[in-house]
Amino acid sequence: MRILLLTLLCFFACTSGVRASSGYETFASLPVLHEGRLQPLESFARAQLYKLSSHTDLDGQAADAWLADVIFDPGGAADKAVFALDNEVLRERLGIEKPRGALYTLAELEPLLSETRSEIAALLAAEEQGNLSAAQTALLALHEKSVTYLKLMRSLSLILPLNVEVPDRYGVTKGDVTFLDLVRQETRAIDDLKSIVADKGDDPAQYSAQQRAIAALAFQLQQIRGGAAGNALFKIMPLSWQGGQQVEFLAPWELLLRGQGSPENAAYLKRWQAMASAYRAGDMNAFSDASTAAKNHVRQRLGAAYPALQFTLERIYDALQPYNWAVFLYAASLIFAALYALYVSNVWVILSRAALAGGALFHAGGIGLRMAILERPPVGTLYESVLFVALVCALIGLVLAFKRGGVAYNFAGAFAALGLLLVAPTIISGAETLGVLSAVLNTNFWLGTHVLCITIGYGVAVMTALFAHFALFTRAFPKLLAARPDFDKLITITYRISLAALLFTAVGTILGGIWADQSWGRFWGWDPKENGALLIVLWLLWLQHGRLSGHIKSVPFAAGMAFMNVILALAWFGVNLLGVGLHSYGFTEGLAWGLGLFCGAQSLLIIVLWGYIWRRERSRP
Amino acid sequence: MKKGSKRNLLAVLSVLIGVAIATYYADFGQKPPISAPAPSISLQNAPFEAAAAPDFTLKDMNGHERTLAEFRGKFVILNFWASWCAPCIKEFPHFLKIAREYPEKLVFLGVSSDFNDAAMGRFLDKMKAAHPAAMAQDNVVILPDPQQKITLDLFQTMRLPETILIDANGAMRDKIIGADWDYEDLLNKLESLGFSK
Repeated sequence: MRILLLTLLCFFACTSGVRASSGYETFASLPVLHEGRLQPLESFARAQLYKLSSHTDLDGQAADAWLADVIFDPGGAADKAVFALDNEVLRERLGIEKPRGALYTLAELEPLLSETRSEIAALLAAEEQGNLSAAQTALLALHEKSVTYLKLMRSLSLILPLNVEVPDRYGVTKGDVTFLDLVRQETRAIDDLKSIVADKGDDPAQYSAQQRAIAALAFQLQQIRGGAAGNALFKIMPLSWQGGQQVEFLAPWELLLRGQGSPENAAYLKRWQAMASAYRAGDMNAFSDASTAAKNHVRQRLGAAYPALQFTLERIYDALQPYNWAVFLYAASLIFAALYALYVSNVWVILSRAALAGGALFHAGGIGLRMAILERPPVGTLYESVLFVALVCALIGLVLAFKRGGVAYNFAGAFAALGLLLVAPTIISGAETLGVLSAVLNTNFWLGTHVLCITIGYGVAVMTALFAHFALFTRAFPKLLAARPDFDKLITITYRISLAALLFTAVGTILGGIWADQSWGRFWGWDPKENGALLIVLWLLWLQHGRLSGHIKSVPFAAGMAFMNVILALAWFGVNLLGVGLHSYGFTEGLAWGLGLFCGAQSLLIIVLWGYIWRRERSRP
Repeated sequence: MKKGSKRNLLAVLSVLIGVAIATYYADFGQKPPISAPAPSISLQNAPFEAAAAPDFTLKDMNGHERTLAEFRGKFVILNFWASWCAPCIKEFPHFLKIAREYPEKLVFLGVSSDFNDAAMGRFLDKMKAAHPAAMAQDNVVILPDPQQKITLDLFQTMRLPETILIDANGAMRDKIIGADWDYEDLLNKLESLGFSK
């Protein structure tokens, strides 16, 4: 018990240190439109930081504090280590000695980026034809990241102080001048520059000091404006001029360059300017006050359209990190179950079950929060399908554990849920951000019926395969554990669960056909995903009928059901690798190797176990 | 089928039907998405929520102080322009024409960002020569704003020409960006906003 408490304390310590110092709370909750969804700034910051660094915080600095640094103090941002660079070829080409996994600054990457800028057009063309090496892919990604970072750095460049010399003739007397202060002099400066060039030519060496200052000012204003063109990443300004009930947000530069400015947005931008001034002065109280003023402004502006509840839930989701808790509790459940197998005692059963229940509670809470935030059923992306299948596994384990007793069900539920939760983020890049869906999936009715049904089927099928594995292990090594599950009972459980798997996968597949008929005009198109779903159904039917008719004995039945994992993995993830068909909406980068390894290892394990059982039982008198 | 199995099957089917019904209503009863593309031109769009136009004071060409509030009760075409802006020059005659047509019901306020008084003067002289009657009317008011206190600081106008249509109650009803429209478009737009001839 002491060990458990100690571990729990360690976990609390690990998860609580990320929060930045006070003053950012309101700033973190300001609305940003990103990837089609209005979200708290904190979520936007996490998504951007993850994109650049593959982390959601930097050395204890929370993502919102990091973003504040980048947008309010872009001068220092170039020297902030934020870029992940894992490709060995590029690391070698860069020539900076850093341990693997270390982050790089924009300034450090700049020589490599400058050197390779001319290669980008050719690489993009090659990318369309799928002819890129890993290093080339990484190079393209690095350039894309650098553009994203520059866009963030320049997001508010129109309201931040500029380091420019303003000639007296323009009558700008205030200390810290911004682009918005100077833009009203832009036409005049350009006119003046034209006169100077007409008079003295285009060699600045011939100009007087004031003429050089005029030329520099005109050039810098053009540079700032040019650098801002197309910068539509940081969409914080609610649009004033639009129809219907929809709320559109634009980035500050985008707003002004598209002529969408308004008195309301002028006032809102001044709030942001106050935030910037306070932040740059290091006055966190003033920063917090300015953030509150900005938040009140935008809330009043949006009225009923302001998604206060979703924002609150999303911030809870970000702060709670429910899947971390679920992983920890599932792992604890697994350990307690393993301890029971070694040292039979009811204490371990109770602890294992409690931990599994706790894990499932956090897990379900996380999925529930996602549903409330995104206003859609639980499964809409490949990542969400993994989360949901993991929960189904945990719940099946929990229900069976309470209904039938014993610790094997705890173990199975915790093992499957933990494995899937651990695997999910590694196989799907950027998975933990709350993304929107591609159009074909954006139908809550079908997400709530077909997709939910088929993913429940996947979950039940995973548990079927897991119990089949247990059965094979039990048969192969009957005296290995102190707590010995009965082989025949495990086969019966496997069979019964497989019936539920068949029900859900078959109904889900038929519902999918009806959806396909409505969306694409045909019930069945021999699409790889459809074939995969059919394969699961046929595999289950074949084994169940074989067992019922007596053609398939218990051990081959268990081996076949254990192989269900391979069929499932191919149908679930493998079809996305083909890159064809109407279902290729998942992320598959880096998946092929993992999937191949999994299928190979699974097949080998089943063959070895089956072979071992066959040999041992054949040699018996 | 055993009693327990029937109960389980019934429970599973109930959950499925429940989820289907819940999502059906969630799907059709939900709010419109917030990710619709922004309008590229505002002539076709009504404002999201008509906010009151902030009042301001500027001196006209005769040096008299004028406020926006003094035109309450009439439709106001608040146009931000400059003599060096080609689209502004293109659309200016349309504003003069509509002001000439509806002197009692509509006001044209042309807020100029010109820093060069002479250039602005030359342009206005041309307009006076081409449209003497309209330029002489009381409902055509030119307001120089060389420091862009009203243009940029108050109305956040950076991409000239931009024109805000303000109704008789002082509410900003729409914005026209650029000069890619003609007299009929403008008239139709005003009528759609409640302007009666």
